[in-house]
Amino acid sequence: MSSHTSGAAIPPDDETLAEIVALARTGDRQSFNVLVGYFQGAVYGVAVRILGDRELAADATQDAILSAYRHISSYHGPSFRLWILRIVTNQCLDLLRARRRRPTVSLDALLTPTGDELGDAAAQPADDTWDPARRAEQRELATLIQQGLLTLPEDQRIALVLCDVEGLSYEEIAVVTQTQLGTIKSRIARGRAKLRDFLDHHRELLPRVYRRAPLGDPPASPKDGG
Amino acid sequence: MEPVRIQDHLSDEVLSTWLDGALAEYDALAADQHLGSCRQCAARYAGLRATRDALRHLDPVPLPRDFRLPDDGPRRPHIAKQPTSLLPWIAGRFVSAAVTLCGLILLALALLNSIPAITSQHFANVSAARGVPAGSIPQQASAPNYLQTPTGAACGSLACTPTVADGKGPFGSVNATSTANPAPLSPSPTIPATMTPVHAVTLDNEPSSAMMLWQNPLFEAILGFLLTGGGIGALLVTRRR
Repeated sequence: MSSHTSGAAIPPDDETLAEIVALARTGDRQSFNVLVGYFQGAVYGVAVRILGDRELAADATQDAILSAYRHISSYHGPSFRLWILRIVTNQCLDLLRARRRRPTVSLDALLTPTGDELGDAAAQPADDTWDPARRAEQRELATLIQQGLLTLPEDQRIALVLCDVEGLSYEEIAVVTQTQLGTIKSRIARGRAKLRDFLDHHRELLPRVYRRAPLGDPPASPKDGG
Repeated sequence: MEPVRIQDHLSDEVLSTWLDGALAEYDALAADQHLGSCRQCAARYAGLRATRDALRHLDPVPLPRDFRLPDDGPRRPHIAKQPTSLLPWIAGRFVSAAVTLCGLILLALALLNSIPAITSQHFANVSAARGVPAGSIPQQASAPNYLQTPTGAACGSLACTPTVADGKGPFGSVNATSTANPAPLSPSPTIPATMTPVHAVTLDNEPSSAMMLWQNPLFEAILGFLLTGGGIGALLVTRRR
């Protein structure tokens, strides 16, 4: 299992995962912690992208994991990952509603430039091929993307994060958000379009490689892998 | 989502769905053909693709701490939860039902006690209207309600006099003759020694104030209402969740 500073461990195959979940459902804390080790990176990542605040995201992640532990007996599949993502998404929505009722500014946010916390990963050398200039550009882009995400309505932001950041399919997102498939398609499209317009509007802030006009790009088939 | 037509500009939803490879085959073909000839839609599509790629290539957010639960913490609450006993619930329901029943009985008593008072008052008024001297009306008729035992009420009515005069007792049935020809009421009807009417004893012994209160229909009605309401309320509160 990987260190908590480097993300989460890679989940095993479905059969092994099902065995671990079955053990966790009997109240075995160690098995549950194995599951947390697999998915805490995804859970925290989704929370950060939705909330845009590290402290709040850590609270949401902790609450979601505790809630999952308390209610794991009510889990009946099909995917533990989708189940825990649904819990953390609901936690995030609750926190956003609470923040709307009582708006506060965290001290952490005041001390940190806006959105920079999400560029921390880019600021750290991930491997031996670390290029400072490239990492700086990625950090700028990550900051701008996070700012753009926070301008989206919550439902579109959640759908877009689950689709493009977490890589869930439309069907999986419908399970996580408990929404119709058509609604998910629409939310993702509108969210992408708004984020595209936001990035286009702030093109001067984008890294050099992203500053070229998209008009000259030939349309590529989705089969190209994007 | 409406079917894609080659000659129309493509909506963001069509472009986004096509980007994810989730467009139906026919619509995908139409979108592909349109994008090959429309620079405007191609530019919008390229923007969407760049946005999606930028999101996909975001670095994972580093965890601030390990979120795994401590091994020595408390166990899951629903596992440690003990089965609850049904005894307090049953006792509570029983007491509530008993209180409700008492209240209903008191209400019924209040109703029954109020009837003789009304009838005695009615016959006193009738006697007064017929010119019967006040002294000829049995004392019980004008006595307070708590003295109006069944016999007392009957003594003020037409049924009492002939039966007492005949020596048949105060609870004799009303006959047509006596009802049709009401005889003057005797101020002090003779009571056979074999009978001990309750009202006679009551007249001899002055009732206590507590007794008067308990036999007051108004008090009974109020208490009955309170007990019934409280009992029903308790029944509702002790519903099993």
